[in-house]
Amino acid sequence: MNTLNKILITCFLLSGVTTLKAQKQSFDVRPGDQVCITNVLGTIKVEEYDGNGISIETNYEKRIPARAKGLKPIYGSGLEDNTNLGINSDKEGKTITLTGLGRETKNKNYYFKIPKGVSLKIDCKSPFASSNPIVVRNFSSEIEINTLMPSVKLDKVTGPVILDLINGSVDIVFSKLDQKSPVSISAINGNVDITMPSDTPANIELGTINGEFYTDFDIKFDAKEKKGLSYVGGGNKIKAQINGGGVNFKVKTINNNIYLRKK
Amino acid sequence: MNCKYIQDLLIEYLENNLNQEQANEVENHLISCENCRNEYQLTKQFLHTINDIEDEQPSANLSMNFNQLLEEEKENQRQESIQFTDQKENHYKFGEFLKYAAAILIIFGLGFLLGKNLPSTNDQSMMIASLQSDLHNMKQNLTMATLKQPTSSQRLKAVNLLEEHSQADDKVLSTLVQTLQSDANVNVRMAAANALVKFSNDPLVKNAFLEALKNQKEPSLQITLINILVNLQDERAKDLLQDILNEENNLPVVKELAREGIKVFI
Repeated sequence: MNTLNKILITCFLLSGVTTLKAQKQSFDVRPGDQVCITNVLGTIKVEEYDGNGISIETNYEKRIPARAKGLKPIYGSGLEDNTNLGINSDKEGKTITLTGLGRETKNKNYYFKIPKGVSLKIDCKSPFASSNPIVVRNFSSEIEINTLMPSVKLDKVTGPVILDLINGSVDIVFSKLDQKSPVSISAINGNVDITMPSDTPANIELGTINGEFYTDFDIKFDAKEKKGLSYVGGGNKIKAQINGGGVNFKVKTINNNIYLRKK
Repeated sequence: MNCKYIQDLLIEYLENNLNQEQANEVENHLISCENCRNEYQLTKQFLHTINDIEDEQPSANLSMNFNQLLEEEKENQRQESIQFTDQKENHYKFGEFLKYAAAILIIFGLGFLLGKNLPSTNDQSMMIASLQSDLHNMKQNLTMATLKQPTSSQRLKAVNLLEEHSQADDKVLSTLVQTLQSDANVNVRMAAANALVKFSNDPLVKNAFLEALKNQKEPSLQITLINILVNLQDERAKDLLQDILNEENNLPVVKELAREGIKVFI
């Protein structure tokens, strides 16, 4: 009995090791294209890299019960797992859509590497999505993210950044701020914490209803807009230029604070 | 899928380049699909304006100058050629032709340069004004065209530009309203709502806000719209706010704002 147990445990460990083995795949993409990641319920990490094509690394492993041999799985969304990574990939025009096959991707890790010049869109509005933050690093193209639950952490990005979050918080470190296109960030319950180089020019517009602003940038507070009597729930709004003004930079929260820091 | 196919055909359809079968297909689809109908209207407007711009005639001044120069040059040429033929009879007809051609080319070039480089003289200020207004229209059309771009920041930028530079032109308003109702990105829709605040005296815009509050489900946009409508003091918003309060799925923060908003109307 004891030896049997040992054998069983070894088998278990071995199978554990095999499931940890990460899978990797690569997809064709060109500068100017857009990658759209949607309905992936696991942890999402994205980084820009020097290679060609989108590379996806994941610890997902396809498990089809023995009984299903010879049959084709039909996932909830009606999509096919054409990557064997729990993701359906589809290219239409300049947009590559990577759709997670719902439950299949839950509790898995997904690491996307995307070449320079390809913009990123993540749609994570499912209430079943992982509560781990979505992390994007070293990214120099447009980032657009919508989430219901997860927070968003952007590190060493340049913008444009377009975020709409409901429960998550936003943490962004800009390595510089792209002056060609605007930034728009909206969070409802989370706070927004932004760090930018101290010489960044921008036309900032900050708004919160139940929160406050904190910053070490030189903002003239006489630019604060008069609180209209009818403005619901009071609320603060600041419009100001920093470093002589530049690209539009709009941040809005409802129930939390906005932090704007110099680097 | 079908909509996309139809929308790809719209331009060809408007230019009458489709065969009967495809044209019927488009027409049938347009009858049944409101979205595509809007798309059709927009494309039509857009093509229309483009055609207008291309049909632009050179101003009277420019053609007058050109004709004058042409006359002068012709006169010179005639004198020269008279001398020429006096000496050498009609031997060099082809050479003469070349000279004419060269002269015409030069005149053309001159005219072009004149038009381009000397626009600051008084008699041409009219032309500049009209060119500027053309340029403005073109910019506006371009900006509206950018609203069809796939990346949201481009569309956001376009909305910001429309907000900053335009007068309450019907076309601009309807573009912004359409963006507010149907843009794929909620931040862009919010920006469109904020851009429209400036024009909220227009009944069309007011209705658009009410419509949007009824249909839009993103909390961030709902909050923006509630703020706008409460500021506008439009009585019709009250019922919509009550609906928001009663709807279970709405976020507590949205309901809270709706409750505050209703108080303002009493």
